[in-house]
Amino acid sequence: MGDDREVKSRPSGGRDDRPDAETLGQVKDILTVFAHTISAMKLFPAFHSSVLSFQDELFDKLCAFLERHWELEVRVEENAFRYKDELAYQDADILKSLPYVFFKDGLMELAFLRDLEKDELEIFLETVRRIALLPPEEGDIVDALWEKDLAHVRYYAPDEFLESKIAARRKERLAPEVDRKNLFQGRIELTAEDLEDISKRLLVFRQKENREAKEFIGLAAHLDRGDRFDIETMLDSERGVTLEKGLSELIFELLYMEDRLEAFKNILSFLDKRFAELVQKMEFAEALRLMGQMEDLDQALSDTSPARAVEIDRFIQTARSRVSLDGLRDQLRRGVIQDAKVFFEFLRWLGPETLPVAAEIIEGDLDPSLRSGAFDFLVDTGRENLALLTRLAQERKPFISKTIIAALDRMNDKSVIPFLAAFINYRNRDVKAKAIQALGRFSDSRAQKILIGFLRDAEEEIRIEAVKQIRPDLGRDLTASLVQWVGAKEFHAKSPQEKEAALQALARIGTDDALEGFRALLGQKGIRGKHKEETAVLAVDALVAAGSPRAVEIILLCAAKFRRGRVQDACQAALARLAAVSTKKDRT
Amino acid sequence: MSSPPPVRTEFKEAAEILHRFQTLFKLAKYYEPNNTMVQEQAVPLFDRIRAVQEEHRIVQINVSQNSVFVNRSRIKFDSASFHVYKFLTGLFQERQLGTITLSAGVTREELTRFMIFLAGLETVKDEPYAHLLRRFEAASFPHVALEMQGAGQVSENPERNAARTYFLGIHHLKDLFDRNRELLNFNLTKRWIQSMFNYIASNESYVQGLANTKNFDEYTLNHSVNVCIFALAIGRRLGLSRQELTELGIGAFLHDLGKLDIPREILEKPSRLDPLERNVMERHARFGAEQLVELARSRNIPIRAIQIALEHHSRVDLGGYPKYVRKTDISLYSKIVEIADTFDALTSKRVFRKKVYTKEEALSLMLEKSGQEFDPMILKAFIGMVGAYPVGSVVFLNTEEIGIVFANNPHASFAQRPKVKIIADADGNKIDGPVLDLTEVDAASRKFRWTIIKTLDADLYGIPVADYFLALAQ
Repeated sequence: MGDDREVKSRPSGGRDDRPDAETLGQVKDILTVFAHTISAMKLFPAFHSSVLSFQDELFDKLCAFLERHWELEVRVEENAFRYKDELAYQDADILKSLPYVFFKDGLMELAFLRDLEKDELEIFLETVRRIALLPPEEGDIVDALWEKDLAHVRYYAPDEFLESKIAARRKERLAPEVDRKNLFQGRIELTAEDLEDISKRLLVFRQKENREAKEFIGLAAHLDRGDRFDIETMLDSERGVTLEKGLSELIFELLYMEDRLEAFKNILSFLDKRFAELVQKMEFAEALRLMGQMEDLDQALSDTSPARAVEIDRFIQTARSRVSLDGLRDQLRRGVIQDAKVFFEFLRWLGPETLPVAAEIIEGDLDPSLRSGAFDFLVDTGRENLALLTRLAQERKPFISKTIIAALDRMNDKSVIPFLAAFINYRNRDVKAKAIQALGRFSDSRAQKILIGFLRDAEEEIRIEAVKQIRPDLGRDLTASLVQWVGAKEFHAKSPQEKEAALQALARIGTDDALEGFRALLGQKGIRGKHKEETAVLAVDALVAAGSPRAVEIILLCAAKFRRGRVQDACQAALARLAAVSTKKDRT
Repeated sequence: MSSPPPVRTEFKEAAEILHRFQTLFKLAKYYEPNNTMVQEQAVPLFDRIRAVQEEHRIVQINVSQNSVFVNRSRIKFDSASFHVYKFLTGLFQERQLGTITLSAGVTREELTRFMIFLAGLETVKDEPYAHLLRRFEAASFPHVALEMQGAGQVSENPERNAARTYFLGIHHLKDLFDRNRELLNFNLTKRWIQSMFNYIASNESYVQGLANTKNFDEYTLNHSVNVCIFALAIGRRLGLSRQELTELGIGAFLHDLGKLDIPREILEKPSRLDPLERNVMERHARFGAEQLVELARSRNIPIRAIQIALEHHSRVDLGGYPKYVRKTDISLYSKIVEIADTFDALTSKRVFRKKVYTKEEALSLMLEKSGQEFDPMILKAFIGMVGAYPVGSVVFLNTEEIGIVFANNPHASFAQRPKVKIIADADGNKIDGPVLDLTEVDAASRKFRWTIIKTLDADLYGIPVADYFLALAQ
């Protein structure tokens, strides 16, 4: 085929030619794959291998056919497709058949054209799928395809369908009959005024008539480049405004203007539905915007129209209460939260009842940013609702419990202290340890009291942790409790670590009452034996830390009592250390 | 054996080819073949075609379903190049032409000769493609091939179908107004709008002609349909997407729904409204929006439609009604409908106004309010669309004949040279005259054959403009 060959014009037609067996077979195959593809798309998600496989197969077969035949046009019947009058596909069940999706909306012919693109086909298939899943009276395939405006998919839906739906009942003619006699017979008599004006204009015209017909090189567009830019800018600007934003603004204005209470309520009823849809679709930013507008409106109307303000209040409360936490949980499980910040703002708006949702996010295996946001939410919202927050902690959920404690700790507010006490009865060691650490940050007698309470814990580690957190400014009563605990007979049998921690705590307190505890401990009768000696040594070490004259006095008393052995050695060493410290102080 | 399909051509190249094609066609139509301008303008077109052919072997221009393709690429037109689109679809439509293929080997001489042939060929109503093909084959263009439009695109009487659809819209709206609004089948409304748009796309001038149909007694019905037509046509010009056009159409179609809640005595008062009545009348915008909000509870009413109902009297400077608390702007769609609404209202007979403005007067009035009532850019696009002499204008020609503008010229240079159907001869006798193209030039004198001297008031002379269009549909 050379470049200079003569190209014949191809006449139209071929539409009525009977197809050969091979071609008809190909068409049948394509339509069968088409039907299978839609079925698969209705059953499985878009990325499912079956769906992708069918789509690929359909595309390949269509392309191969169109390459040769230029177009594939089928006629649509109630439950069948026909290719050039030959039956090419049929479904037994009319209402569920693929052809019926098109037939019910008056689409009579469907054609795929050569150069059909893959994404075009995918859009087409998705459109068919979507409409097929809707109730017949709701979806309209012609409307849907029209909006898609696919370049290589052609369809024919005659207007008779519209006429049958709109004008069938009417007896009168659709369009009026025109009286042609009236149009083309008679005369038009111009008024004197018009004739005079015409005369003047003709005179002017004839004088200018000698000019040549206007040259039109450089034909310019009616709208110049600047205009085109302005139009594009205008369109971009319009498209940049989300519809929900537009709706929010519009509804605000309507509600503000509407002084009839029933009409007002109707609009709110619409908003109620709209809000629910937004939440369902996880469009939380838009939902919040809508509610923000309503709250503004509430304020604006509260003085001028209290009746309407009451309705708005009711609307907001109802909308808020209707948001189902289970629904939110389900969405979290299924969907991806696009914007964690907005999501938590939405939870904040909903109120503290959503604290459990945030806790569950932390517990679940979700995106770190989501979990971080959830924690911040627990802190911010839990601050005003400590009881609700701490109720989330459960013995059988140690991770959540620790998270709650961390949240309470982050708040850095004394109001959390009573709530930390709840953990005193927990069995989980980590949870209790975390609560103890949190309590230790507060120099508040209540916190210290709770810590003293932990001294009764069955676990040594917990007792040690608690006593370590005891502050020097422990009050008299609590000091007495500590002294009593230290002074108990069974104290000596405790581990060296525990005894050390306790005695160090007493030494940190350093008051006369605390030191009296040492004196009483060391002055106990029968303080011999390995455990008691150990206690004495630890006591002496602790007194060194106290370093006060009273402490020295007690060491000396101890040394006098324990003339030999480890305790004596400890006392000597302690005194030596204290002397050295004192000398150093004198020098400085 | 058919040639293998060409691969895609870059969009910009393709658009340039079409633009040059139009330019050369126009020149070939008005000038002699050996005219310097014709010869000169053939060069850039030929060069561009050759450039594409070097890569893709052929250049194929195809018009299908009101879309223009060059070598399989669908060309999208914006507001500035819309005239090229209109020219091409009009040219291909009137000849029932589907495809022009220029194969490698075409010379500049052959190309020029072909363009002159095409521009010079008379249009026939019966079997135009067969007529074209006969002449084409006789003229012999070895490297040019033609194909007819696809069979599905050829309609026996497109005017009849368009007219029927127009009145279907009125019936549909009447149903909505008469019956329970809850029974409204919204899918039908969308289908009607899309069908109407298809007719606008294939024969905008005729549909604009139908929009001259006015109904004094049931003003709102025809008015709503007319506003919808103008709005869709503007939207098309501006480059709105299909979905946007549907929403615009719905809003335009239902923009006066609120009037159902206005007492008839006020709607039909034959004189000026007093302030209280005015206040009631102005509420129709809000009522319409509220009704659509009510419907939106059970139907997928676009938000834009609700905006249009509320805002279509707001004015761009917000000096209209209703008065807003916070809004600082109105939507693009409302601006479009505001223009369409005003134009149709001014050119309709109203119970409270004796005068019916001619289209020319209406446009002048609207231009005075550009920037205050109307968005200047959209108004400009609208005036560009309807032309200096909008379809349906009654005009007096230099030949002293009277005619009705049947189609405007999309090109700015020929805004004053539409196609005019003669309805009365130089003596004032009504006739069923031909449709004259006012761009036609007399070969001998090189002057335009016909020129509009003055527009006439159709209402004054009792000329039923719409009927001339409806007559085509019978």
